[in-house]
Amino acid sequence: MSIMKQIIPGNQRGSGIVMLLGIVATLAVLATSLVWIVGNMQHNSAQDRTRAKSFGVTEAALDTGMAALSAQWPAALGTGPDLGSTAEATFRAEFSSSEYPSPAAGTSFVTWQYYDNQDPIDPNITWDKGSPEQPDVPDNRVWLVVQSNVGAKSSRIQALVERAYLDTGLPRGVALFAGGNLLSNGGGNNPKIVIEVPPPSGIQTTVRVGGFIDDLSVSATNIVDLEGEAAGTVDEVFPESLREQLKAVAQANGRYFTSVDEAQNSPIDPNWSPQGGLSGLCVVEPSPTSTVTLRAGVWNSETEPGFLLVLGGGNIDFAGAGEYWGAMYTDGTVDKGHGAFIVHGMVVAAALVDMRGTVNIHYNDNVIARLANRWSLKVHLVPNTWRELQPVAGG
Amino acid sequence: MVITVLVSGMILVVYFALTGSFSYSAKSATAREQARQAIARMTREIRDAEAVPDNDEVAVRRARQRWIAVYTTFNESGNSSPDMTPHLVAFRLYGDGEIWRFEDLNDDGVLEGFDINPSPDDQFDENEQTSGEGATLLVRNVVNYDATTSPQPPLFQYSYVDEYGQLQTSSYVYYSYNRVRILNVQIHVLVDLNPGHSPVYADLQTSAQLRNQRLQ
Repeated sequence: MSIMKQIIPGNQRGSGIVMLLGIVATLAVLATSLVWIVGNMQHNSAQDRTRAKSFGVTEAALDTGMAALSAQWPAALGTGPDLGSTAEATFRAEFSSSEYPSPAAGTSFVTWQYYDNQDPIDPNITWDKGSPEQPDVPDNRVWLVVQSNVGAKSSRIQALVERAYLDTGLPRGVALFAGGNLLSNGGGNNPKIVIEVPPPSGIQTTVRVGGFIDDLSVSATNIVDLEGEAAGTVDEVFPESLREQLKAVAQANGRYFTSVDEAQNSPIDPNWSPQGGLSGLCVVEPSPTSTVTLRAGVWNSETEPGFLLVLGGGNIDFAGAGEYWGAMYTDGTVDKGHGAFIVHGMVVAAALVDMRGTVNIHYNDNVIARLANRWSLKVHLVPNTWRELQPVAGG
Repeated sequence: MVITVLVSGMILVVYFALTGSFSYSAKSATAREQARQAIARMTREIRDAEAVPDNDEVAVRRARQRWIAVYTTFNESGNSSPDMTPHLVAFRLYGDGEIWRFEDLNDDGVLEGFDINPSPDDQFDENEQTSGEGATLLVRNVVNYDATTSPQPPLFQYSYVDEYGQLQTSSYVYYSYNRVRILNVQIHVLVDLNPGHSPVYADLQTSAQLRNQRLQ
């Protein structure tokens, strides 16, 4: 008989194991609870991370929506960007599905909506129709609403976006600027520089020539001819910053060319080059230096004028009875050309301009004014309109 | 007998150690969770801050080290309507280590029972916790300014562009012409997970970029 059996009465034998079992059971409950708490914490952490990812994706989608509107502003019914399933698929491909899990079946990863800022809001007006004050006068603003659904979490953001124009800042009333001389003859074709649409009241239409003018009868009598220092500099008329800006925009939008043939055969771009070729925004920097010749045909229009820039010392020449609506700039010279060509707008040449041929310049202030807001450079958020909304089911 | 006592004693020691550990784990997990939710809530509301043009108020009404007051429509039903006016929301850390949220529930532009102009800047009446409009406790045991904490991290810090175009960071931003140029708010919450004992900190930091005041 053991010592334990001697000192513990018979009816108390096994109490130790009972106590031990009780403690073990209690600890088991506590351990289970702890596991549950830790699991709960991890779940909450995962939910937080997914919510943060969802918000990040929504902000990325907002930027994507703004970029799409920048490239294709909804100026009229049906002219805005298509931000449907194709755009969603392209956007989705930017995010790995392991890091950014897809939402439940039937729910889109991201959705975009844009509509006009009417008062009250009508989501069916999906173009820039008007403003809260004037429902039929476009104000370059639309609402953009984006929702993303990542896993079980969603985020929704709304902001008013506004397009900012390419600000040309071209001076009004300058029909022609030549850094060198303006060659002309006294033939019966004069005047070749006339006013088609005058600048605003108080602004004089001028011909500015850094050198001398061969024959003053080349410009109409209601145009002021400025020669020598009085003409100013090419940078005052067509600043280098503007040239660089136009070049950068052209490069970003496929309208910058290093060969004349490439420029003349460039495809149509609804926004940047409605007719293709030299229409719309066209920046040519030919290497080696060569001449861009405009032949018979009509480029651009009074309502949709264009820019033709010939950089790197290239020249501009004309051939045939054509018309160009817009502003022309060349680092080189403007040749006299052949045929009855008309430029409606303005011509700027860093060097000589030869008007001994039959080229005509019709200063058109409507063209110059419209070039100031011809293209939108970007779309930006209107301050104080960003809001995080409650996500909507299936939105 | 001796062996029984020893074994029982060891079992009880283990038991109390484990229950203590469980208690600490549970409490610290809860505290950590509360702190994380509080900082998430503050971040989301602050980044959504929006000016109220009608009464000429900028998005951030007050920007102080221990408290902030902003106008926002965050989490308001129907805030997709541009006509909804943002209302005032404030977050304030009291001397008892609690961060409370206040909200202008009746949209009258005033937080009743809440001193918007305390003097000095960081001394408040804790009665606001019961009398302040829309008062909600966010988190306890915040020890940013506890005597034993060194250094004492500011709860809120603000980065703004001053009148000379220089980026400044300060815990106090006065005057609306400065507050309108606050770009982001850094939030630093130091929570004691083991109050009443040797401190164990949860050190949470984040930054809220004010979407309606960022540079375009």
